[in-house]
Amino acid sequence: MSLRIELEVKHQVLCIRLEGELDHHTAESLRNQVNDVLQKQTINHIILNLGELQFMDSSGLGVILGRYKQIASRGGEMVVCSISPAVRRLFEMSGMFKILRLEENEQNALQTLGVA
Amino acid sequence: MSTDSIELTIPAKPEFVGVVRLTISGIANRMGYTYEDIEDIKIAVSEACTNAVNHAYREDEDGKISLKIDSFEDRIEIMVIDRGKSFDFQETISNLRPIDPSMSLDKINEGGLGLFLIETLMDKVTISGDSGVIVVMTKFLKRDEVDGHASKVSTSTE
Repeated sequence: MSLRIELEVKHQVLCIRLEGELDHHTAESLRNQVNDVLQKQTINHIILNLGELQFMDSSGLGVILGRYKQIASRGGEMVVCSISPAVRRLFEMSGMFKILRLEENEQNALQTLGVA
Repeated sequence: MSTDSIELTIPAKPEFVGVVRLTISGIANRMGYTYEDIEDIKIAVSEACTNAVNHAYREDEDGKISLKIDSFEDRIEIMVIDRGKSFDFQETISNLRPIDPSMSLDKINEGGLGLFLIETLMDKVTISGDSGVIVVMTKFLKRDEVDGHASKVSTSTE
Protein backbone atom coordinates (compact mmCIF):
# COMPACT_ATOMS: atom_id res chain seq x y z
CA MET A 1 0.00 0.00 0.00
CA SER A 2 2.68 2.47 -0.91
CA LEU A 3 4.17 4.08 -3.97
CA ARG A 4 7.62 3.57 -5.41
CA ILE A 5 8.76 6.50 -7.52
CA GLU A 6 11.62 6.31 -10.00
CA LEU A 7 12.69 9.45 -11.82
CA GLU A 8 15.18 9.52 -14.68
CA VAL A 9 16.11 12.34 -17.05
CA LYS A 10 17.07 11.33 -20.60
CA HIS A 11 17.82 14.05 -23.17
CA GLN A 12 15.78 16.59 -21.21
CA VAL A 13 12.82 14.20 -21.02
CA LEU A 14 11.72 13.29 -17.50
CA CYS A 15 10.70 9.63 -17.19
CA ILE A 16 8.44 8.99 -14.20
CA ARG A 17 8.05 5.30 -13.32
CA LEU A 18 5.45 4.44 -10.72
CA GLU A 19 4.88 1.19 -8.86
CA GLY A 20 2.18 0.54 -6.25
CA GLU A 21 -0.76 2.77 -5.35
CA LEU A 22 -1.18 6.44 -6.22
CA ASP A 23 -3.79 8.00 -3.94
CA HIS A 24 -4.13 11.15 -1.84
CA HIS A 25 -1.55 9.92 0.65
CA THR A 26 1.17 9.08 -1.88
CA ALA A 27 0.31 11.89 -4.33
CA GLU A 28 2.04 14.50 -2.24
CA SER A 29 5.50 12.95 -2.38
CA LEU A 30 5.16 12.43 -6.16
CA ARG A 31 4.18 16.09 -6.57
CA ASN A 32 7.16 17.27 -4.52
CA GLN A 33 9.71 15.03 -6.21
CA VAL A 34 8.60 15.91 -9.75
CA ASN A 35 8.38 19.62 -8.97
CA ASP A 36 11.90 19.48 -7.58
CA VAL A 37 13.26 18.07 -10.87
CA LEU A 38 11.21 20.52 -12.97
CA GLN A 39 12.68 23.43 -11.01
CA LYS A 40 16.29 22.31 -10.98
CA GLN A 41 16.70 20.90 -14.47
CA THR A 42 15.70 21.81 -18.00
CA ILE A 43 12.86 19.45 -18.86
CA ASN A 44 11.08 19.61 -22.22
CA HIS A 45 8.72 16.63 -21.98
CA ILE A 46 7.43 14.10 -19.45
CA ILE A 47 6.93 10.36 -19.93
CA LEU A 48 4.74 8.55 -17.42
CA ASN A 49 5.41 4.83 -17.13
CA LEU A 50 2.43 3.31 -15.29
CA GLY A 51 3.01 -0.36 -16.11
CA GLU A 52 3.52 -1.35 -12.47
CA LEU A 53 0.92 0.99 -11.00
CA GLN A 54 -1.88 -1.07 -9.44
CA PHE A 55 -4.21 1.65 -8.25
CA MET A 56 -4.98 5.29 -8.92
CA ASP A 57 -7.81 7.61 -7.92
CA SER A 58 -8.65 11.25 -8.60
CA SER A 59 -5.87 12.46 -6.31
CA GLY A 60 -3.43 10.76 -8.68
CA LEU A 61 -5.20 12.26 -11.69
CA GLY A 62 -4.88 15.64 -9.98
CA VAL A 63 -1.10 15.36 -9.61
CA ILE A 64 -0.73 14.25 -13.21
CA LEU A 65 -2.97 17.08 -14.44
CA GLY A 66 -0.96 19.58 -12.44
CA ARG A 67 2.35 18.40 -13.93
CA TYR A 68 0.72 18.32 -17.38
CA LYS A 69 -0.21 21.97 -16.99
CA GLN A 70 3.37 22.84 -16.06
CA ILE A 71 4.94 21.04 -19.00
CA ALA A 72 2.26 22.20 -21.45
CA SER A 73 2.78 25.81 -20.43
CA ARG A 74 6.43 25.40 -21.53
CA GLY A 75 5.25 23.98 -24.84
CA GLY A 76 6.12 20.42 -23.84
CA GLU A 77 4.21 17.15 -24.07
CA MET A 78 3.22 14.47 -21.58
CA VAL A 79 3.13 10.90 -22.86
CA VAL A 80 1.76 7.90 -20.98
CA CYS A 81 3.10 4.41 -21.61
CA SER A 82 2.72 0.84 -20.27
CA ILE A 83 -0.61 1.36 -18.55
CA SER A 84 -2.44 -1.36 -16.56
CA PRO A 85 -6.06 -2.22 -17.49
CA ALA A 86 -7.42 -0.77 -14.23
CA VAL A 87 -5.62 2.55 -14.58
CA ARG A 88 -6.40 2.67 -18.30
CA ARG A 89 -10.12 2.48 -17.49
CA LEU A 90 -9.79 5.32 -15.00
CA PHE A 91 -8.00 7.43 -17.63
CA GLU A 92 -10.71 6.71 -20.22
CA MET A 93 -13.53 7.53 -17.81
CA SER A 94 -12.07 10.78 -16.66
CA GLY A 95 -11.08 11.97 -20.11
CA MET A 96 -7.31 11.98 -19.55
CA PHE A 97 -6.62 10.63 -23.04
CA LYS A 98 -8.11 13.79 -24.49
CA ILE A 99 -5.03 15.64 -23.32
CA LEU A 100 -2.37 12.92 -22.92
CA ARG A 101 -0.96 10.74 -25.67
CA LEU A 102 -0.67 6.99 -25.08
CA GLU A 103 2.29 4.97 -26.34
CA GLU A 104 3.00 1.28 -25.95
CA ASN A 105 6.30 1.54 -24.11
CA GLU A 106 9.00 3.95 -23.02
CA GLN A 107 11.13 3.40 -26.12
CA ASN A 108 8.22 4.28 -28.43
CA ALA A 109 7.40 7.27 -26.30
CA LEU A 110 10.99 8.55 -26.49
CA GLN A 111 11.04 8.04 -30.27
CA THR A 112 7.83 9.98 -30.80
CA LEU A 113 9.33 12.81 -28.75
CA GLY A 114 12.27 12.75 -31.15
CA VAL A 115 14.99 11.97 -28.64
CA ALA A 116 15.76 8.27 -29.15
CA MET B 1 -33.05 -11.41 2.90
CA SER B 2 -30.06 -11.76 5.19
CA THR B 3 -27.55 -8.95 5.49
CA ASP B 4 -23.99 -9.17 6.67
CA SER B 5 -22.86 -5.92 8.15
CA ILE B 6 -19.31 -4.73 8.68
CA GLU B 7 -18.43 -1.55 10.50
CA LEU B 8 -15.10 0.21 10.40
CA THR B 9 -13.87 3.45 11.94
CA ILE B 10 -10.59 4.98 10.82
CA PRO B 11 -8.69 8.16 11.75
CA ALA B 12 -9.44 10.85 9.16
CA LYS B 13 -5.88 10.71 7.81
CA PRO B 14 -4.84 10.02 4.21
CA GLU B 15 -2.64 7.05 5.14
CA PHE B 16 -5.68 5.06 6.34
CA VAL B 17 -7.65 5.27 3.08
CA GLY B 18 -5.54 2.41 1.71
CA VAL B 19 -6.63 0.24 4.64
CA VAL B 20 -10.29 0.85 3.71
CA ARG B 21 -9.56 -0.09 0.07
CA LEU B 22 -7.97 -3.35 1.20
CA THR B 23 -10.94 -4.17 3.45
CA ILE B 24 -13.52 -3.35 0.81
CA SER B 25 -11.77 -5.36 -1.89
CA GLY B 26 -11.70 -8.33 0.47
CA ILE B 27 -15.43 -8.09 1.11
CA ALA B 28 -16.32 -7.54 -2.57
CA ASN B 29 -14.09 -10.43 -3.59
CA ARG B 30 -15.81 -12.72 -1.08
CA MET B 31 -19.20 -11.67 -2.46
CA GLY B 32 -18.20 -12.69 -5.98
CA TYR B 33 -17.71 -9.38 -7.76
CA THR B 34 -15.66 -9.37 -10.94
CA TYR B 35 -12.15 -7.94 -11.02
CA GLU B 36 -13.40 -4.82 -12.83
CA ASP B 37 -16.26 -4.25 -10.39
CA ILE B 38 -13.90 -4.61 -7.44
CA GLU B 39 -11.64 -1.96 -9.00
CA ASP B 40 -14.68 0.32 -9.46
CA ILE B 41 -15.73 -0.10 -5.84
CA LYS B 42 -12.16 0.51 -4.62
CA ILE B 43 -11.93 3.79 -6.52
CA ALA B 44 -15.38 4.97 -5.37
CA VAL B 45 -14.62 4.19 -1.72
CA SER B 46 -11.20 5.79 -2.00
CA GLU B 47 -12.81 8.97 -3.39
CA ALA B 48 -15.46 9.13 -0.67
CA CYS B 49 -12.91 8.63 2.11
CA THR B 50 -10.46 11.11 0.57
CA ASN B 51 -13.25 13.70 0.33
CA ALA B 52 -14.00 13.13 3.99
CA VAL B 53 -10.32 13.52 4.90
CA ASN B 54 -10.00 16.69 2.78
CA HIS B 55 -13.19 18.63 3.27
CA ALA B 56 -14.24 17.62 6.69
CA TYR B 57 -11.20 17.58 8.86
CA ARG B 58 -8.87 20.30 7.74
CA GLU B 59 -8.60 21.77 11.24
CA ASP B 60 -9.44 18.78 13.38
CA GLU B 61 -6.49 16.47 14.04
CA ASP B 62 -8.57 13.82 15.81
CA GLY B 63 -11.34 13.48 13.24
CA LYS B 64 -12.71 10.04 12.43
CA ILE B 65 -14.45 8.48 9.44
CA SER B 66 -16.99 5.71 9.97
CA LEU B 67 -17.91 3.13 7.37
CA LYS B 68 -20.81 0.73 7.37
CA ILE B 69 -20.67 -1.94 4.71
CA ASP B 70 -23.79 -4.02 4.17
CA SER B 71 -23.50 -7.06 1.97
CA PHE B 72 -26.81 -8.27 0.52
CA GLU B 73 -27.34 -11.21 -1.79
CA ASP B 74 -27.57 -8.93 -4.82
CA ARG B 75 -25.62 -5.83 -3.85
CA ILE B 76 -23.12 -4.10 -1.60
CA GLU B 77 -24.05 -0.89 0.18
CA ILE B 78 -21.27 1.27 1.52
CA MET B 79 -21.96 4.17 3.84
CA VAL B 80 -19.18 6.66 4.50
CA ILE B 81 -19.89 9.00 7.38
CA ASP B 82 -17.86 11.93 8.57
CA ARG B 83 -18.86 14.35 11.28
CA GLY B 84 -16.77 17.28 10.14
CA LYS B 85 -17.85 20.46 8.42
CA SER B 86 -19.91 19.64 5.35
CA PHE B 87 -19.24 21.24 1.99
CA ASP B 88 -21.79 22.56 -0.49
CA PHE B 89 -22.41 19.24 -2.20
CA GLN B 90 -25.39 20.48 -4.24
CA GLU B 91 -23.19 22.96 -6.00
CA THR B 92 -20.35 20.46 -6.30
CA ILE B 93 -22.62 17.83 -7.84
CA SER B 94 -23.97 20.26 -10.43
CA ASN B 95 -20.39 20.88 -11.57
CA LEU B 96 -19.40 17.22 -12.06
CA ARG B 97 -17.84 16.44 -15.41
CA PRO B 98 -14.87 14.67 -16.97
CA ILE B 99 -11.93 16.58 -18.40
CA ASP B 100 -12.91 18.76 -21.34
CA PRO B 101 -9.99 19.54 -23.65
CA SER B 102 -11.75 22.68 -24.91
CA MET B 103 -11.55 24.23 -21.45
CA SER B 104 -8.57 26.44 -20.76
CA LEU B 105 -5.89 24.75 -18.69
CA ASP B 106 -6.59 26.85 -15.62
CA LYS B 107 -10.25 25.92 -15.62
CA ILE B 108 -9.74 22.15 -15.51
CA ASN B 109 -11.09 21.25 -12.11
CA GLU B 110 -8.92 18.70 -10.36
CA GLY B 111 -11.13 18.49 -7.30
CA GLY B 112 -14.48 17.79 -8.99
CA LEU B 113 -13.27 14.54 -10.53
CA GLY B 114 -13.68 12.54 -7.31
CA LEU B 115 -17.44 12.87 -7.05
CA PHE B 116 -17.79 12.44 -10.81
CA LEU B 117 -16.01 9.08 -10.50
CA ILE B 118 -18.21 7.95 -7.59
CA GLU B 119 -21.32 8.75 -9.65
CA THR B 120 -19.93 7.00 -12.71
CA LEU B 121 -18.63 3.86 -11.01
CA MET B 122 -21.47 3.04 -8.63
CA ASP B 123 -25.07 2.12 -9.50
CA LYS B 124 -26.73 4.31 -6.90
CA VAL B 125 -25.29 7.20 -4.90
CA THR B 126 -26.90 9.45 -2.30
CA ILE B 127 -25.14 12.25 -0.48
CA SER B 128 -26.70 13.94 2.51
CA GLY B 129 -25.89 15.59 5.79
CA ASP B 130 -26.06 18.72 7.89
CA SER B 131 -23.10 18.98 10.22
CA GLY B 132 -21.23 16.19 8.45
CA VAL B 133 -21.51 14.31 5.18
CA ILE B 134 -23.00 10.88 4.60
CA VAL B 135 -22.32 9.16 1.29
CA VAL B 136 -24.21 5.95 0.53
CA MET B 137 -23.03 4.00 -2.51
CA THR B 138 -24.58 0.86 -3.95
CA LYS B 139 -23.15 -1.57 -6.48
CA PHE B 140 -25.25 -4.47 -7.74
CA LEU B 141 -23.83 -7.93 -8.13
CA LYS B 142 -24.31 -9.06 -11.73
CA ARG B 143 -24.89 -12.77 -11.88
CA ASP B 144 -25.16 -14.47 -15.24
CA GLU B 145 -28.49 -15.82 -16.47
CA VAL B 146 -27.61 -19.50 -16.12
CA ASP B 147 -26.99 -19.09 -12.39
CA GLY B 148 -30.33 -17.34 -11.91
CA HIS B 149 -32.29 -20.09 -13.64
CA ALA B 150 -30.47 -22.85 -11.81
CA SER B 151 -31.35 -21.44 -8.40
CA LYS B 152 -34.99 -20.94 -9.43
CA VAL B 153 -35.28 -24.57 -10.50
CA SER B 154 -33.77 -25.89 -7.29
CA THR B 155 -36.13 -23.91 -5.04
CA SER B 156 -39.26 -24.93 -6.97
CA THR B 157 -38.51 -28.65 -6.60
CA GLU B 158 -38.18 -28.43 -2.84
